[in-house]
This record gives sequence, structure tokens and C-alpha cells, in this order.
Amino acid sequence: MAKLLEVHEVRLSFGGLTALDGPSLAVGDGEVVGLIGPNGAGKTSLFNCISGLYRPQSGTITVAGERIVGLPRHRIASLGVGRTFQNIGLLQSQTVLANVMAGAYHASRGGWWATAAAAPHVRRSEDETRAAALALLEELDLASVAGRIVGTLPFGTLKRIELARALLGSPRLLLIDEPANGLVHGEVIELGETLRRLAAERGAAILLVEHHMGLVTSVCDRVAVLDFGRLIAEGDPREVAQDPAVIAAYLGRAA
Amino acid sequence: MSTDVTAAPKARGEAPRRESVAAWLRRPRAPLSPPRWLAITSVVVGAAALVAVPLVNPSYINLTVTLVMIWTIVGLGLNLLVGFGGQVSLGHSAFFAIGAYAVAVGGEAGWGQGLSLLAAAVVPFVVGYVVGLPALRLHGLQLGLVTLALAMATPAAIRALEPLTHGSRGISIDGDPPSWMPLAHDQWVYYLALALAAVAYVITRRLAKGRLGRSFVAVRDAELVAETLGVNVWQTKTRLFATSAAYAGVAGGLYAMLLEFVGPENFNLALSISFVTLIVVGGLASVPGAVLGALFVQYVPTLTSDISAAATGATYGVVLILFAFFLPYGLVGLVRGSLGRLVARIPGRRT
Repeated sequence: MAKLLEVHEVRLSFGGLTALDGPSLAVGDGEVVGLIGPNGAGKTSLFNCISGLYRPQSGTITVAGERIVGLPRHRIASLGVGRTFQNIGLLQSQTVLANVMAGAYHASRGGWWATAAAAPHVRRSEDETRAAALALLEELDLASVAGRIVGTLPFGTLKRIELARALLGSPRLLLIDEPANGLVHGEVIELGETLRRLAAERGAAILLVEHHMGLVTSVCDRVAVLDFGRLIAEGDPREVAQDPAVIAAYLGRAA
Repeated sequence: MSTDVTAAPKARGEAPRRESVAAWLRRPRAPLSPPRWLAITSVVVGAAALVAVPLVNPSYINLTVTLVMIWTIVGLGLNLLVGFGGQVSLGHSAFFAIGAYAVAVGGEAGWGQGLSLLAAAVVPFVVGYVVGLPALRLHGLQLGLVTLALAMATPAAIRALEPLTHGSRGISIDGDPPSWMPLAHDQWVYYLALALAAVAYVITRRLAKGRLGRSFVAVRDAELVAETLGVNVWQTKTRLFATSAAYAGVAGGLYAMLLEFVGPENFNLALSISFVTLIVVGGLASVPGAVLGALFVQYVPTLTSDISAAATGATYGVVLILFAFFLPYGLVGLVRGSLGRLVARIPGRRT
């Protein structure tokens, strides 16, 4: 039985620069896996390969048994892969509610003809989407900004809005890129708890890129460490943090 | 009593923040949210007035109001593509022409007005789809240039297709109502245009909000994000292009029925420029903006042409620049800014 996400010896380079040098990784249903490593280790590159933004030169990636390298990006989303972006991928000119509701695109209904005719199932789907979005905003303490234009809000809030949007698509696999960026310490702990709870409620697996080690150790079942595009360690968060290779990667090697 | 007056600002606390006029004009604003009773009353009164117009007015008034409705239909479709979808087109005069000639050629072939108008929607839709397949791989400036070429080639293409279009001689059209209908020609085309504009308005509103509307805006503002949300970007763009071409085609068909004649000179580049001016002046990504823009392109050039025949082009140029700088949300933005607070204060249950 194939795992939900299987990454096998993926290689990606830009010209002469190797971003991913054959790491392999698997994430099971409902599992929360941290992906850590120093800056430039290839974490976001791996994310971009999984959501189809980059196409690796070799290696395979499967989601629920289906090979996704070369698949159109919108198809990958409909396989149940949701994601957030390191530098926020929200629609700046739209309200918070509209942004979150956009997350339900592939999970909701309403083609062109049905929408033009205002078919009952389109209205129902829209009402359900709105109710689900409002409930999620409530859970993430964002209800008070639901009607605000995104472009006017602070960075930490935008991170949570993006998370809400990704969750509304009911992903089986959620790729989260640095959610704690721009948050203060207390908020990070709270975010960790919220993440675990929301993922557990929805049965979503999470692959989490994060620099904040406190968040990683408290949230993740397992972590994988990338350095220069290679997987250098994998396992229990606390053990991995003690691994000499990992410490060397973060602090630099002795000459 | 004078003490009250001087005390008032202190009692309110901080002094009101000054905002420059330019900043006020450029501020994005939420749509007006009238209470339900007011919205329904406005629609009923507006509809009644529009139905009454051709019964009480001379035909030249009906003609200009019909033209406003024709421009509104073009503007609704073009705003879906440009305002919501973010894809530039300077070539919609071509689809307007195809619609007009569909009605003209259909009339010659004895298809009847209903079938001809249907062809005026279907043929531009198909042509738009086929043109859009390769063209929408392009972005911004390049897409603008390709569609510009489309508009520039239209009069020449009409002349070249002589067997079908009779070249420069043009085609006369019978736009009269069915014989059992007690309406004059101008009244008949007016009501046709009113009905089709109303349908176009409602459909556009449905497409522009909700699940599809959000996907258009995502395609416009962040293509990659749209794709990771599951939006098939290319398909969305192509369908938007074809749909907006169908709107322009229907409008062109009505235009042909109204003038009862089509010739290549009716469909030059200036027509495309006026379409773009329409949506920019009315308000990009606003459905009611198409109506305000249509009023603008119908009446303002008529006013300025009293000064000089060449003034129309200059008016469009100056207006486009002024709106780009000072009124990025068009006349709709201005209306929202000036009436927003007033409308919000009117009591009643809101939807």
C-alpha cells in the first residue's frame, strides 16, 4: 500500500546549481512531518516540486499512488494537495472572506452554465462554502477581520488567513511554508496547537517547513532534515535535534 | 450657544485626519449596500422607466438609449475578461463586427431575426475560442498587440470576404418587428436590446461573484496561486475570452438591426478603443460600471464633437489618462465614495 505522499530520489537543478540532490521522503495519512534545514537547503524547492510549480529533472513523486511529476498544477490540487506560500499568496485586493472562500474552488460546485442559470446546487454550494469559511475564520480568531481587504493587514494575520484558505479546500496533504514567520512567541505555541487540532479533525497530513524549532518539536510526529538538497537525517524531532550531522549543518562544519 | 460650537471639536477628541482629494479618489471601496426595500424599489422603478422610454420619446432618443444598451452589453462582457480576468483585449471590435455580419448575412439568407441573433452570439464565441487558444498563452503587452492586430485587420478582412460581405458596398438589413407586433422599428430594437442587456447583466453578475468570480480574480492577481487552488488557468482565460466575444457579438447583431445597414467602416480600431475606454471609465471589475461607461461613450463624445469633429479621439485619450491617474476605480468608485455613507445610513434590512 502506497503512502499518501512518496518522494523518491528527486533531483532538481537550476543551471549548474543543484537545489535537490535526490532526497526521498514519505508522509502517511494524517501524519505531521516537519521539514527543516538551513536556508537554501531545498525545503521550499521540494514543496514547489510537490505542488507542481517546479518540475524535477528526475525522480518520482506520488500522491495517493498517483504520479504527479508533469501533471498540470490544477490537477495536483484536485488530488488533495493544499499549500501555503512562504511570502503569502493571497489576493491583495480582495476581502479576507473572499480569499478564504477561494480555497474551496476545487471542492465546491458550479460550472459556467449552472452559474449563469443560478442553478439551486450552485447556490447551495456557495452557501455551504461561506458558512464553512466563516466557521474556520472563527476558529482561527479571524472573524473580526472577515470583511477587511487583505492588503491592509499585518503579516502574521496573513499567514493565518492563508492557512484558513488551504484548510477550506479539505486537503489530504497540506504543505505549510513557515507559518510562524512574523509571529511572537506566545502566538507560535498557540498556532502549533491549532495546527495539530485542525489537521486531526480533518484527517489531513501535514508537511511543515519551519525554522522555529519549538513549533517543530511540539507539533511534528517526525522530522526530516535537508542540507544542500540532501536528506541528512530523519526521525523523532528531539533525537534529530541532537544528531551531530544536523548540528553541523546548522552551525557550520569544523574546518 | 457659541460655547457649544467651539467646544464641539474638543469633545470629539482628536481632530479629523485630512486626506488629500487624490488619495480620496484612489481609495478602494466596498460596493453600495442598500437595504432590501430600496434595492427592490430601484430595480422596479428603473425597469418601469426603461420600458416607458420608447413609448413617450421621439425615435432619435430611442436610438441613443438603444445604443447605450448595446454598449452596455459589450462592456459587461469585456469587463469580465479585462476587469475580472485581467486579460487585455483591444480587439473586441472584431467580434462586434462578426456579430453584426452574422445578423446581416443571416437576414440575406432568410434565417429570421431570432436565429440570426443566436448566430451573432455563437459565431463570435467559436471564433473567440479558437483565437484565444493560442493568444491567451501570451501575457500583458503581447496579448494587447495580438488583439490590436485583430481590430486593425477587421475592416480589411470584411472587404476581402466580398462574396459573403459584399465588401465596401455593405449589406442592408431588415430590422422591422414581426408584422403582428404594433411597434415601430426603433421601439422594437429598443425592447430587444433592453431584454438582452438585462439578461446579460444578470448573467454577468452571477459569473462575476461566487466560485467562478473568485477564480477569475485569482487568475488576474496570482496565476500560480490560482493553479494551486485547482483553477485551470488556461481554460478559464479561454472561456472568458470566448464569452466576452459572444457578448460583443450579440451587441454587434443588435447594432446591425438598429442601423439596418453594415459596412466595413463601422468596425474600425476607434470602436475597440471606445470599448476599452468604456470599461476603464465605468470601473474595471465592476458590473454596474458597464452601464456608467456605456452612458459615457454614448453621450460625452457627442458633446465634445460640437467643439470639433476630431475631439472624440482627444477626449478618449485625455479621459483614459485622467482615470488611470486619479480614478482607478472609475465612475463606480466615485459613486461609491460619494453615496456610500448616505446609503449605509438608510434604515432597513440588508441582504
